[in-house]
Amino acid sequence: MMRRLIPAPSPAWLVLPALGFILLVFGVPLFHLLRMSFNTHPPDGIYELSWSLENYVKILTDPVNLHTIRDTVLLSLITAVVTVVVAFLFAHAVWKRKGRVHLVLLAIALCPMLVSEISVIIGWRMFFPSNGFLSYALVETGLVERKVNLLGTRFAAIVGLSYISVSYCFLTILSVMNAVDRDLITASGDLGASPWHTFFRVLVPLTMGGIIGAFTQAFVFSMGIYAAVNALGPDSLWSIGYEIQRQMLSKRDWPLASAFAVVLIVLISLTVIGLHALHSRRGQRHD
Amino acid sequence: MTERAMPGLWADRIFIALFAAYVLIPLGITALMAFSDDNIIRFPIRGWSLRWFEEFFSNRQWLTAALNSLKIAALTACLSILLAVPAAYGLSRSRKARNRLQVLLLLPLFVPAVVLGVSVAIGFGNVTLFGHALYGSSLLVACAHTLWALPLAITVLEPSFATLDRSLVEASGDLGASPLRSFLTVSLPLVSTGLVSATLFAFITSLNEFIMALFLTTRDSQTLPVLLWLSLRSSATPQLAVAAILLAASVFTAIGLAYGWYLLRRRRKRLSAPMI
Repeated sequence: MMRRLIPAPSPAWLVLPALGFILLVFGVPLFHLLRMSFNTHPPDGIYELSWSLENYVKILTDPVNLHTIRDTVLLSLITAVVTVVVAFLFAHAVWKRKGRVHLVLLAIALCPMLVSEISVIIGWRMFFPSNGFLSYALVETGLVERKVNLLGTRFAAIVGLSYISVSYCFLTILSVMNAVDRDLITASGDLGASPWHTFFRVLVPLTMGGIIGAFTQAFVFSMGIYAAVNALGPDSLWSIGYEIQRQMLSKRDWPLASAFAVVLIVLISLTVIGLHALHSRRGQRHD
Repeated sequence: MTERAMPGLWADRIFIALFAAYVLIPLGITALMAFSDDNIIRFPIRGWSLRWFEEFFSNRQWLTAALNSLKIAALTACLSILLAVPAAYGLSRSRKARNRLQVLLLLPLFVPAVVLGVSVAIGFGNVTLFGHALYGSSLLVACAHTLWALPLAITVLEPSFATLDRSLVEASGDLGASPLRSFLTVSLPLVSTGLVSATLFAFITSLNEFIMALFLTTRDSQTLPVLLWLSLRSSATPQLAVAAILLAASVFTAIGLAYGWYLLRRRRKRLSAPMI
């Protein structure tokens, strides 16, 4: 029984390897990124060490760049609203069903999570163009006379974008819904509330935490995803992510790409902090 | 709950059908197009054949990319599990650690792939390890993918360890097992379902990811999704559909294998303990 005399190490220490890994592969490079954003870009190289705000000034004053930021935020907002509404309605449909149907619907809702963004892009790129499936189906059934093209529209971009975050939103909302006391819904109906009234006045307020969480998720995801926007949306629709790729890989302007990345992180953090504050204020009021 | 209490039953059913269509369209259409005999992607499909599959399996570039993908995904899964198991165990045993560290460990999950890719490329761009350049290596891509896979693995594993029956572990200690031995022979088998799920999540995350890989791979180490993204506009042949469907198929195969393992284990458990 000798080994019992050696005190077992505190379990908290076991977190250290993972923490160290994250600091090394996430923290340190992020620091490099921040430093890089203050460098300048010489015409004949990649970057030159300096401490200048040139890149940030360029991003925040150039109308093209401001346009890019506005487009990204706007598209992410619309996508987040659409995705949350769709995810909420489907979570509701899954929530009120039981048994085999419940499981099948659950599997369907989780499917998008397992599909690579690139497969999503390729799939929708075969659906939306004028020689794609949608146009063919519409012409064959006689619903339209001539071929239609929806590839390269904002609509296609939103469809692709929300496909990527819908499963996560669904899971967040469903887990909050599962915690709702079903008797409250029944009680509301028994007291004479119409189904619509029960839905909007009882179920929606009770699941508001999940709705805000899902909205945050969808917004954060959409802000960072640019491949789907670029491959499905119109050429005039720019996104911060694509601008980072273009500056980094095509123009070899690492400092500007880094500054864009910093701006993206700041925008995302501000949103998360803002929505979190909103959520906790609501929580206090209700308590 | 009665159906009458819920709004619009028919509207509800139509919505479910539309949502199912929305989810299944990209996969279904890609699967159809993969078997097209045509030279370009277009509907209606004029003939069926396996020629684009043959083309895929005889093309060196696509095969290398597919192998790279599997290699990086396997590396990511190993790395994530090695780091996630002690971390999840530690978090589940120490409330203080959980409150303070969980947010930090989950942070990379909320950072877009493009930002992670750029910062890892800048941070490790000219680092060499044992005389080999880290940039462009599978290891660096796997490390970047682990930034997403590790938080997921910890999230999946932590509840498994938290709900672990402590008395079994204590019993093994009282019977003379060292902490390490009781961890390996008692705790780990008890959380094996969580362990397999976490590995699966890490593997799939890496297999599907392509933005970080885009910034971190060279022509020789590029993954299947990266090659798909790069050839999206240059080639519009059903080859793209074949590659995309093979990617999805490998994800669903991995899930199928894990599920098969789960069923097998449950059956064996039932057989070995018929009295309970």
